[in-house]
Amino acid sequence: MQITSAGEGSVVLSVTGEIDLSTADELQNALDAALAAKDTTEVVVDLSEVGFLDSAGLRVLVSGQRTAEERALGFRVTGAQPRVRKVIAITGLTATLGLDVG
Amino acid sequence: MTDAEPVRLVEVVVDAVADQVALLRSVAADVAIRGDFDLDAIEDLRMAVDEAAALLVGCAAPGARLHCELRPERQQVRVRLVVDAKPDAQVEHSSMGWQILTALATEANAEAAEGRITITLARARSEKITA
Repeated sequence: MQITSAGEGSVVLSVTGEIDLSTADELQNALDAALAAKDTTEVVVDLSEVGFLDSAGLRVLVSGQRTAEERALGFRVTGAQPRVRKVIAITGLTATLGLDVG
Repeated sequence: MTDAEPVRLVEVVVDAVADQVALLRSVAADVAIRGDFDLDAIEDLRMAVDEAAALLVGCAAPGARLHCELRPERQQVRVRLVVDAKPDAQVEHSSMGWQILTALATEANAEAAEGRITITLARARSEKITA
């Protein structure tokens, strides 16, 4: 898994690869850093290059969403592929994660 | 030719650590691919085995090994995962991992006995599961 961060204010974290029990911590660290940066108003997690996401990754995304909410920052997930979208839907998190429709 | 199920048991044993979960889910998907399963069934099995293995890694005693048996049958793949558990560990049925596993598998069960936790699951060849 690789993560690149782009932008200030609206920070886009683009993730490539598989998010699972062994890589979720890395995503957590990147999210924490993005949410803590002083100019951040919104964090967008782009999953368009993620082929696999399990509950370990979902827990990190949900915790990121909660932290953003506590700090009155925007948070959303974009670009989820159909398989990733399916797992998010099973857990009832589609709206919570601000997943874009379509 | 007979009508008996061909026996092609696959067994994989790994250290019960997070880094090995990807290997188990890949083997599971490969078994389904070789059985010519539907794409949805392959991906559901991959995810179900991932979640089962991750749950058992969380329950594992220090230094434990995770045993995984995959049994391809004509209409489904059956999987049995076993780990030596730390005291009082159990599979939380309220966890997101169990929620995903039970949604994607056509059968799933977890049981603790004699210091071990076992998860058994099956995914049918083509039954459509929609979220």
